[in-house]
Parts: sequence; C-alpha cells; structure tokens
Amino acid sequence: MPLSRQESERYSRQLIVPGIGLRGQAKLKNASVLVAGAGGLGGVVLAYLAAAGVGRLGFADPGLLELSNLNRQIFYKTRDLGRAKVRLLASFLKDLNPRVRLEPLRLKLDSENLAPLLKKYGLVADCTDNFEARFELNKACVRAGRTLVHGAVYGFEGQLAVIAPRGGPCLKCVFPHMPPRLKGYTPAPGPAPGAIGAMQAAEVIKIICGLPHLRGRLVIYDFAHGAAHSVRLKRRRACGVCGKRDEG
Amino acid sequence: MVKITVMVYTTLRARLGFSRTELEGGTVHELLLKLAVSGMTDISKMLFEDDGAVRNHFVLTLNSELLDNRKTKKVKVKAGDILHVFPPVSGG
Repeated sequence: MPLSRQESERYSRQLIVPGIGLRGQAKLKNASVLVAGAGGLGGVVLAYLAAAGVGRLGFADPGLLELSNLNRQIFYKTRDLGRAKVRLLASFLKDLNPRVRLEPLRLKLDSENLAPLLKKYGLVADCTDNFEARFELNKACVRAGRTLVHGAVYGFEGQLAVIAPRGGPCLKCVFPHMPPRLKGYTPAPGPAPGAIGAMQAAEVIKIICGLPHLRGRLVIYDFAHGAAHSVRLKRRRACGVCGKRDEG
Repeated sequence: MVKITVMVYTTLRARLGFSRTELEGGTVHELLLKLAVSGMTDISKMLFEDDGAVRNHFVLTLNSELLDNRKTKKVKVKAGDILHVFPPVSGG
C-alpha cells in the first residue's frame, strides 16, 4: 500500500535509511508489538515504535504513576501522579503519532493472560522490572513462537538481547537461575533505561524490516565506563523452557 | 600462572569496589578464588556455594564465550584472556 503524502513526510528521514525504505515502512505499518511494562524502558520503546510508524502497539502495566518514577520515565508529567500509567502513555503516544493503533492494557502479565495475548502480536519487548515477570514472559514467548527483545538495567549498566523462539537459546538458557532478591530498590539513573530502551526499539525495528539484528547475542552496556561486552549465547540442552517443551 | 583481565558487574562492583582488575592464575576457578578476596570486602560467600561451586545465578564468560559454572576448575586460561562475571539484571 503506498504511503500518503503526510506519511511520506513524517517518515522521510527513515525512508532513506538503507534497509528500511518503502518496503520496510510497509512492514512497520503492518506490524504489531506487545511491550511488557510501561516504565523507564517501556515508555522509550513505545515512543520510538510509535514514532517509527509501527501499526499496532499493545502495552501492559498495572501501575499508577509515582513520584519516584519521574527521574527516568520522562514521558509522564508531575501533575499526573496517581493516574494509570498505560492511560497516560496512550495519550502521549496518540499525540506523537495518531495513525498508530494503541492497545493499553492495565494488567499484570501472568502465565494465564500471556498465552491468549501473545496470539494477537507478532513481536514482544520485555520492559518489565522483575525476574518473575521476565522469566514468565520468556517461557510464554518460547511457547507462542514469538521473538522477545530483552532489555534490563541496573545502575549505569544495561543488558540487551534478542531471544528467537525456535531453536533457542532462550533467556533461561543464559540465566538458568534467579539471583537472590535484592534489598531495597534497583538503582536506575534515567539515561540507562533511556539508552537501553532506545536500543530495544532499534532491535524491534530491524527485526520487522528484516535487517541484521542481535539474535543469539547478549550485549552488556557499561555506561559508567563507556564500554560494551557482547556474548554469544548457547542453548542449554537441559533448559527447562526451550530444551524440553513440557517442562519448566 | 598467567595474568588475565577480570571484569565484574552490578552488585559485585559495589562489594569489590572496582569494575576491572588483573589477576594471575592457571584456571578460571583459581582466578575466581583470588577475585573473591581482592576487593574492599570478601565476596567468597556471595560468589561460591558451600561446596565451592560458583553460584549458579552468576554468568561467566571467557573471551565472550559462556562457561559452565560447574566446570571452572577444568578451564585453563591463557595470558591476555578476559573473564567477565555478571548476574542477570531486572530493572526496567
């Protein structure tokens, strides 16, 4: 389907990117992405995907806006404290790109609601803030055959990976065991989730457009020292999630 | 005994007081034993199980290749190798 004059102008700076062009833009328009979490990572991922013209965006988060969110969740406003984050984000995204179909979901993702939800989306971005949700999402994506773009932060450090559903390796292959629960809150200076969220959005866009992406690799970004470390992931035969489908 | 670079992340940094160090050893296990007592605080209990195995939530990579935490005693190192030690992170 050809682009309208307005679309051609709106997307003009990405239409000239090698590998995107009109064909890539059409793929973006026909794509659907579920973003799990509407915090420091999720808001950034959604903003870039909406701006890029991804056709349909679902986003799930049960939370209300809190004052402590605002050092990093820069798409919210101080006057909106106490309001549902997915509603606020929907309003922000609609203003950014009215052509994108938005599906805000004020709910906590779990093993029961994930399976039917994943059938409605082609791709998933993990922007949650706890290990339980991340491993649940990983398992559901493996079972549903959905690619998962993983992003996570701790202080001035971030981790980014693309988890392909068939053939692994999955998140559980890399991190087979959860670490002990930390006391207190996870340190989160604003630019760290901002940068990792932008990188997750870039991976999503590249996957949709058929460009080379991070499949099978985990990259650790060390913003404290301006360094990155890329790890080639290996499937664990004994993985309870992708090794034997009935376990885990 | 050869000298290699060891890089650590997140909670390990906070406890050790550094992100990068150079240590001498023959195997990954020897290097991790030295790492545990090379910083501000002794992280032996944080890094190792009671039986001496590396705690299974830590990920070890040697020159960007994932290692099996149960086989660190068998992995020999060469001069100039880079060992990374990191846990998963979950912040969003």
